[in-house]
Amino acid sequence: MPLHDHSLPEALALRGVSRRRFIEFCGAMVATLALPSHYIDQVVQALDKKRKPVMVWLEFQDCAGNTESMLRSADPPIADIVLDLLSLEYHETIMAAAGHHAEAALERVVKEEKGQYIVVVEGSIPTADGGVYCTIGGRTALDIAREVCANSALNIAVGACAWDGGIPYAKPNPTGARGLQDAIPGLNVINLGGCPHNPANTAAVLVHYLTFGQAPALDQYNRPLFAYGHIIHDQCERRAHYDAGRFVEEWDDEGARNGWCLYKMGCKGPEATFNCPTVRWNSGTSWPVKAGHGCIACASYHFWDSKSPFYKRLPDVPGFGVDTTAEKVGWVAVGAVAGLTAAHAVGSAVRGKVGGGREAKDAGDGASKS
Amino acid sequence: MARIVVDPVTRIEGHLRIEAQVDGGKVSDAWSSGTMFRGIELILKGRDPREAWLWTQRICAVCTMVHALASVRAVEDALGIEVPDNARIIRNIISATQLIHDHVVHFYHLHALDWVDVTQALKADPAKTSQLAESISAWPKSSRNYFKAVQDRVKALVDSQQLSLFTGGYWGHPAYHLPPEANLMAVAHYLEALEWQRDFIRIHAALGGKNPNLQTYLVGGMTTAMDPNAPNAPINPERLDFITQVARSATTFVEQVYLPDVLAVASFYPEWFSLGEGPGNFLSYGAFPLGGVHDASRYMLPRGIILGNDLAHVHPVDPGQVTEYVTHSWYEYSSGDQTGVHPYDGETNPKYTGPTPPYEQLNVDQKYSWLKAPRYDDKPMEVGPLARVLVAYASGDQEVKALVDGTLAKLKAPATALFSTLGRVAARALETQVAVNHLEEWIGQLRTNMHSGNLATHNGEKWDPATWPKTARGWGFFEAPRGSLAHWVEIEDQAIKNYQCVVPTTWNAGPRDAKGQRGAYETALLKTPIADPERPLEILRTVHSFDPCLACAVH
Amino acid sequence: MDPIAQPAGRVAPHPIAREEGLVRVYVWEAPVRIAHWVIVLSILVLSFTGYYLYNPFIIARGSRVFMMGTMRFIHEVAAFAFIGAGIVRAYWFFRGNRWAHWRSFVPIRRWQWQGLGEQLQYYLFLRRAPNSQVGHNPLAAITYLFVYLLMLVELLTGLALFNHVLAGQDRLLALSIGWLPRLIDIQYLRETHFLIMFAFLAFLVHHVYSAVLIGIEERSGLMGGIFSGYKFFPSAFVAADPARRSGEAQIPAVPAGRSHQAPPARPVPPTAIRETNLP
Ligand code: HEM
Ligand code: HEM
Ligand code: NFV
Ligand code: SF4
Ligand code: SF4
Ligand code: F3S
Ligand SMILES: [Mg+2]
Repeated sequence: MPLHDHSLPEALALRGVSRRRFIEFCGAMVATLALPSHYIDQVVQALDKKRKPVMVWLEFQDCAGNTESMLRSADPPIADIVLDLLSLEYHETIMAAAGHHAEAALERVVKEEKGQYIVVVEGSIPTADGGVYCTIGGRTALDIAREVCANSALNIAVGACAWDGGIPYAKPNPTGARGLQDAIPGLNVINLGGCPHNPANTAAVLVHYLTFGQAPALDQYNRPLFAYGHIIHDQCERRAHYDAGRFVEEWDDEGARNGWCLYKMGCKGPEATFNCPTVRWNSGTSWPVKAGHGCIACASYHFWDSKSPFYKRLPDVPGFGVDTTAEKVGWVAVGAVAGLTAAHAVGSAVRGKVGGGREAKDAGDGASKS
Repeated sequence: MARIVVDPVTRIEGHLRIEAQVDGGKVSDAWSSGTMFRGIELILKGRDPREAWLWTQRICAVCTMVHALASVRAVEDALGIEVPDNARIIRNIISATQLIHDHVVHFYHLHALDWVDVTQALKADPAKTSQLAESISAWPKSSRNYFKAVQDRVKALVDSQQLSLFTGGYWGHPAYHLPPEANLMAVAHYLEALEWQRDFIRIHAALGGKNPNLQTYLVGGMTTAMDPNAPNAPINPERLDFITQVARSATTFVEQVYLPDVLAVASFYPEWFSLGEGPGNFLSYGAFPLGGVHDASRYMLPRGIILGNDLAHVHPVDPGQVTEYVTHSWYEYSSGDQTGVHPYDGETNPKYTGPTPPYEQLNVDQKYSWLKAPRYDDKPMEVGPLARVLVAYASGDQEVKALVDGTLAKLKAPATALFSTLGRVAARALETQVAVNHLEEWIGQLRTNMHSGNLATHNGEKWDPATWPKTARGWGFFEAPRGSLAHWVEIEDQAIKNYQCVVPTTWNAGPRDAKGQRGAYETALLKTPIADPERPLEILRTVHSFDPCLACAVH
Repeated sequence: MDPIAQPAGRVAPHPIAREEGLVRVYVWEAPVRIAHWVIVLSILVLSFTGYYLYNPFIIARGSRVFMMGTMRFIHEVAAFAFIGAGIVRAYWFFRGNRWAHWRSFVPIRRWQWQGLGEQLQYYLFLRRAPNSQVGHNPLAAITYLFVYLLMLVELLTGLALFNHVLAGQDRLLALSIGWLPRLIDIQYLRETHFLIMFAFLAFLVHHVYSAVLIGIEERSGLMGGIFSGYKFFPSAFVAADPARRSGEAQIPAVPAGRSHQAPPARPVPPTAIRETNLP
């Protein structure tokens, strides 16, 4: 098939984008990936040669947040990614084809591009009750994912749901939802957690893959280190206030107006890794802490259960009501022990054990009194 | 007689399946089915009601933030919390931004390809396209060279045989009527709107930290503290200047591109002003409170109900009349599946009884969807931009009346033309104009308040759960882009006891109820002409005119 | 007869019969005492700074004191003192005398189970006399064992938090503790770390009380013992020490020939004892 006729720079040139702009774009990618600048040449060369690889984007139990986030990609703009850098041939939310024609487009890719295409997965995969909680074209998500992801060159799970099950996985997980790597063990998956993922990172991963033919350095969760290797708290612009002990004590107080630290309002920045404070969101405009709300650690493993309640620093203690903090449990326990001890002391005194023992000329006296 | 199945319905949010019976080239019956369920109402149980909004917001990120606002309002209603005026204004700004963004994206990226044949753009004369564009708008990007460059880009794409997103569209379908030049202009605006939406949504980033899934709501207000003199205040003069600027550019795009495009496209498809009529009952909870949220007399878009297409009467809304049926939905009610249940007593007990996948056809006589079937006073309702515009029009709202009458005059159409597929498209554009009219004004109010020392953005009186009653319940409503949304919450011992969402797309795309009454999609699809059963473009037109969101509908 | 085997609640002489002369026994060797006091002091510092880290209750508006940074620094320094003391004590579980040896903490022998029951009865006022031992009574011993285990958990969770604070940049730390947050989410580790602090505080209350109480009951100089190392018992009582009878004969009561070991216990005149150690 004469599929790949235009390289990225040719495609860009066709629409009047200069070579300078193209090299700028490669430079931006190198910066996002935190690569030394001499890699620009390599990126330029790689994208110069590359014909458009095919990508399909699967949505399962999702909220389309990762699709929407991708649409906000600024560098490179989404149109450049899906029209020039790649050929996005299946993506329910934005594709032209519908019904059988959409299914046919996906089938074609799986058959004709076998082993060469990139899959992006958004949303979790329900595994309970035969997978009936998500079907597309009458097939279960699990069935589709098995076929499409097993025949690809690379699978990218975007967002918490596709990575670790996300919100559908949260207790009691009514649908047996799983992330991609757990629903179909053994796949080659890069995970881009977050709720949603940050398109700046995803674009960088794509460019890295297209340039070097492999994923960037990954952590134990198969997440790229450049994006998930640093703690939010260590990059946060409010960190100096934390160190100094200047905190927002209640919403809308003096601290809130001055941009002080949100630790006491439950900020999970100290628990979370992600590059929000540096890359930020929506063309670098802002990020949650800058807007005055604590981080909820949306890029952390199983964060819905492990990092909630979001307005308390520590989780609820299992077996106690939601109004009972760990601190309350602790002080009550200390108080109870102190109370029992005091009671015991009184008991001992009343029984004359202690006093008796002391006053007795010999031990036998003390004992016989009791 | 043939059964047409469209699954997946694409260019929507989520997983929608339409089955239609076609007789004599027309749809004789239709069934709408949502095929994905997550159980967020169940996942919320036992959690802190103050953070419910963070969870419910993940019901959908296409209409991001709407479930956040409905949720904080529900909890505020339950606990009797009034938010400061600034919080109300900030919420209105964020909501208006959401509405404008969502509607523009819907028109260009989700709906336009039902009317625009991308491949026909290649036949256009760029010079004539430029003339066409200049004849309908003052938008500067209308030169011959500009359209030539767009055409070259489309040509490169087609020549490469890698059509990307445009692979497998119904190109060349006989129901496409636009001249090549209009197609080319629309493709150019499709691409421009991609960039516009990315830039415009920075208002959400500035006020919400990020989009999608904003992170600045609070039960009791907003986290965006204001201070005219603090460089690090989430809202300060510099940031207000930033959002003002972004808002201004949005206004220009809506007025000079979106509205003219809608009118231009509509003028080539007059028959669609008489196709796609829904159940004829319209519901709006009212939008953009200008005073307290409970003061229904001061909503910018009024609250009301229209029954049987009768624009002479607007009925009051009683939230106690809302019920949901599961007669044809994959759930069980403890009171039996023939009953309608009010959301305060709502139950979400999933029980799939459909065919075992993979399957070819649903058993539509039984249960056939993950959507429940909401009813108002046992009547099916249509919700959304058309409902809001009609309720405002029928209530005599001056601003809406002027816009609607002006548009109808331009299209030389009677008011009844609004009860149609294109009526929905037009209403969506008109209410976008209304939102744009007020966006900058509200930013200005915020600035005035800030400089006059009115800085409160949060009411913390009831923040501490120790101040709450042992039990409480409340509802929070919101007019989301797709229509009337409400969350009902029951709180017990500081935790969520029950949580129910009744969502715009649940109203519109829901299945039949116990009486067998069709949902709005199912009704609107009746009589749709089908030129080619293999390529049911016409079904997409009507379904897309509602702007489906299935993640919302099922949640 | 075995003084421990007194029938419960019966009219009986005090377990430590005082007629004969007392001997001074070197029970708590220096490593045990030093470890004890370093642990006590570090736990106090760690609890204060740790609580502050949990709830920064002193607000340093505009001040140039880096409260959080300072508290965390002190917490980390104290943590290493705590860990150091823990290591010394752990080593001494194997090298120390029969009363410090790990075997005396694990109830594996009959007299220990028996004594455990008796001591419980004593605390519940069901028995007049405490179960006295030269070393720890079996109930105290098992409590200490539990406390040492809690210290281990506190240390591991603390190291995991430290590794987290350093974002895994310290390779050695990451290698040695990185496995833990992979098994249990860091928030639950943090919560465990926090809750154990209260366990220590609760223990402290009871521990000081019981040390005073038993010290008075036994008149063995128990309180002084944790400072000086010496406790005072009748020689017959020492001779009957079940810790030796039941198998630790190889652990000499008074180990000889090591520089860190104290001089052998020697009988001292009762008068002297009364003057220095008993009311
Ligand atoms: C008895 C001993 C200890 C007590 C009572 C104690 C107590 C605490 C408490 C209450 C916290 C605050 C938890 C929170 O709310 O985030 C804390 C944090 C911490 N502890 Fe400990 N701790 C002890 C030992 C240790 C040890 C042995 C280490 C080892 C390095 C350690 C390292 C840490 C670290 C790194 C933090 C987190 C500091 C931060 O988030 O900035 N702790 N500790
Ligand atoms: C958090 C604080 C404390 C902890 C965790 C603690 C822990 C311990 C432990 C584990 C032992 C057994 C030593 C061994 O054989 O390894 C012990 C013994 C002892 N502790 Fe503490 N201790 C604390 C505070 C204190 C204080 C404040 C006092 C005195 C006022 C004290 C008095 C004693 C005495 C007298 C003994 C020896 C008991 C005996 O001879 O049976 N402790 N302590
Ligand atoms: N239906 C729906 Fe939504 C909206 N608008 C919300 O409530 O789309 Ni996602
Ligand atoms: S990860 Fe978050 S944004 Fe993405 S699909 Fe899931 S809920 Fe939506
Ligand atoms: S706001 Fe959050 S992330 Fe920033 S310094 Fe404070 S605790 Fe850390
Ligand atoms: S909530 Fe998520 S977006 Fe960033 S600041 Fe926290 S990881
Ligand atoms: Mg619901």
